[in-house]
Amino acid sequence: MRAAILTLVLLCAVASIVTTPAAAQDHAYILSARLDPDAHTVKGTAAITWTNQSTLPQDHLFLHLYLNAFRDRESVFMRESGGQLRNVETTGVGGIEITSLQVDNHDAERMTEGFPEAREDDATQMRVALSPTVAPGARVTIDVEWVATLPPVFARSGYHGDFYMVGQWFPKVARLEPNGEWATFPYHGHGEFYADFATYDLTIDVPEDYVVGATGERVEHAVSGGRAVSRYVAERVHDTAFAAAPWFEEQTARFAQLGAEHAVEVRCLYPPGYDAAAEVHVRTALAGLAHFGNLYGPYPHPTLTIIAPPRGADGAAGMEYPTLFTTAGEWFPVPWLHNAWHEEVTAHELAHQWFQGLLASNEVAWPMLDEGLTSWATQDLLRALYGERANGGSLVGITIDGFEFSRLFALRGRRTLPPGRPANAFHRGYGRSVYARTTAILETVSRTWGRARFVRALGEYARRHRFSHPVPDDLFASFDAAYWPGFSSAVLRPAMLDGAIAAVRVQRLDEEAVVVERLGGLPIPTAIELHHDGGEISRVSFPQRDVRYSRPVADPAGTITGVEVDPDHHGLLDPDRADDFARVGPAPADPWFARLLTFAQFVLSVAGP
Amino acid sequence: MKRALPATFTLYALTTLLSATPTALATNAWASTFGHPRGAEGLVAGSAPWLDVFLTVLRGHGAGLLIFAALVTAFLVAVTPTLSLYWMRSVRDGASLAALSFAASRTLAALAVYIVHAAVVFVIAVVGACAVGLFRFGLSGPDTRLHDLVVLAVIGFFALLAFGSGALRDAWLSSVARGESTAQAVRRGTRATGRGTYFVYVGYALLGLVMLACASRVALAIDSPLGALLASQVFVFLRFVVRSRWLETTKRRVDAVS
Repeated sequence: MRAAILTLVLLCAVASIVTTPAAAQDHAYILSARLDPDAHTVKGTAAITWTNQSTLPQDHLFLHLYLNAFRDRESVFMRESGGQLRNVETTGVGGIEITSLQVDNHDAERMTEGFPEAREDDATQMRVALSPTVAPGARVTIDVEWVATLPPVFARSGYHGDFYMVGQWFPKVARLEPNGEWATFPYHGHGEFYADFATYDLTIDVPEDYVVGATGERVEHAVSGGRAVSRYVAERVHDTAFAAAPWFEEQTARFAQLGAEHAVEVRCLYPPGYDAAAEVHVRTALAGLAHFGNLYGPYPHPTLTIIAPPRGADGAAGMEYPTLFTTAGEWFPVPWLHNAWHEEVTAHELAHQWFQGLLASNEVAWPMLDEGLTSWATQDLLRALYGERANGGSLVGITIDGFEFSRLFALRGRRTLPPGRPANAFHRGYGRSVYARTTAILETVSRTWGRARFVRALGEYARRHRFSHPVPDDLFASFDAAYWPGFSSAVLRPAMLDGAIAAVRVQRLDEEAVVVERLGGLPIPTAIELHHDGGEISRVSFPQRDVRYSRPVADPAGTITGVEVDPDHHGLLDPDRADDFARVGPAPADPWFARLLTFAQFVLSVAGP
Repeated sequence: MKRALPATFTLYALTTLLSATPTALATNAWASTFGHPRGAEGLVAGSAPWLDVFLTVLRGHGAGLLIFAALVTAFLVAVTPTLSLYWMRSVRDGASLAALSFAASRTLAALAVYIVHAAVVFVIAVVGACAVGLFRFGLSGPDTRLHDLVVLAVIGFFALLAFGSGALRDAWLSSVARGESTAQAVRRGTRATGRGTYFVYVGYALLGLVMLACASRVALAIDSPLGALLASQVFVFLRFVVRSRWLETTKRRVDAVS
């Protein structure tokens, strides 16, 4: 018996050695890129060290050649997007041409079959034979040479005049799941990121008058023969990109946070004349580094580069890469509108440094973990900067709640899929569902049960899973721990995966009774405010277990003449707020007649005598 | 200015009446939709319902309100030449039924003045558009701030020119109020309008706009319905007083031309 137990223990030990995933640094990319501005090409070389971190031997691997999405109009990306992204149309072609491919110094065989989601006319994936088979824990070196032809800037890659945004420009190994299955997919219209953390060592060669911003820390820089060569190194990231232009101007700042490994050099590159906008970008980034760092763990990299694209390069705007992002906005900041352009885009792309950069979930499979969480975090940062319910904007005393925009955007008009669907399931309504609806769901939870508990749950999720590849169950587990067991099953899962809403409305208010009813399937507790004819206002709770509340209007405090549900506007999953209140009898006088009258007088004074 | 005060008040009252009609319809639509002023309160607090309320009212009553407001504006535009001439005549001879009768009888002349002024504004707009086009295509490069500021300066110059041309129109109208023909009025009025007059006119006009802006601001700031109405209307009336003062200045300049 003892021998049997000993044998079992030994077998388990051996098995654990075999199945223990290798460390993140077992993947490494040594890349070089030579930019030719005349031909709009990047000539690249790569030495990729790849380790089989799964439990199964592998006889092939997948490379992503995502720039080939722009090769013609037949790619998956072009078909799904209709050749446009955020109303920017594609105007040219681009792609990657592999000129040499070797695995462990031997020419590699490019396989033509066995692609998930295969399409003959899509060249964004390449299957490469591994011979001999790579055992679990073993590693190979892949040497690649290629020429990347950049399109006129579209979908965050390409050129505009002498501005270059070089993203998705190199062959990248798809992610191999621990169970031995390849998580590979073509470049879709929505969602693109899912890769292993690796060390990226990138050498960029540009004409000497070009200024470069790239993923990672610049460790070498030399100028000779009319060319400037810089080397950038980034640890524990899953992608790399760079921007270049001869006229880039620069603002820098230094950010230090208690508990962080090191200070962060923040660098903003922008076109001439954009100084005021760059100040806003840098200021927002510094505030965001502190805010997100406190909630989700310190930003771990020594650099953060912000690229402000010039006018006309809108296709490059608003995109996240590890340690680098492109923002958006004109040269003039709009100080009263936070929910557009400068602050919002910078805050959003910065939030991605956590929800995508550090928590590298599968963006195609679970976009809500990426864009959804990021969208809530964006509004939360703007709220911290500009005040409660003023995160959307503030002008002459009128403030706009940015979360309300999310609610209106998500729930008004045509129905959308729940946000918990894969990115490629959305033909339309991707932004309304994944960005806005996720935000509305999360903010409803935050307002209903308090922000402190909410950020504890989200913070726990972010800290626990940084530098890994979380799935929705990881998020739900963190919320169950912070709220109560079964919280996710009751609230988050129905809302995110099934599209449940939490609508409440005043069904009836007349001389006899007041009736309030719950229409959505989500059990969200709310308050009901009762207005009595003596002027007194009282509140009662409408517990989450109840679907109907009714009472006679006769009351010791005075007859009920008005009722409002959710008076503090906690619930953002109610498509129609206009049915949240009712009144009997004449409405009390309010100053809005006078206010609107002056507006009409303004208009008629201009048109009249 | 005192002589014209009754006319000034009459015109203020008329435009206020015209403004109040669509406003009352809009606020009634608001109240009848919800029977609750919560949406309006939300507008100030920046909280939830105002967007919903606004969208719902717009969906239910938007088209009707828009058509009514357009009709009111069109009516005012149609009677503006006559009313302006009445105002100008009142500045000259005091407000009276005779002044109104005079304005009615010279409506065509006043209308002609407005048409000639519209033609002047159109010419300025065409020349301005050509100039903007020239600058727009003459500037290139990544510094869009420089490009935008130059284009904005060009647009601003021509906009100011068009805006300031109102000084000419008022001088022509003042001459018509003297009983002159349109041709004579254009000649006299143009001679009475020097370069400095443009700036004085722009100053008065901007002061009037400031008064209207103040009216909106105090209406937003005051929560008492009656208080908001009274305080805002004081500023709106002051706008009419400012314009009356300008019309008197114009009268003096026109009369000074031999």
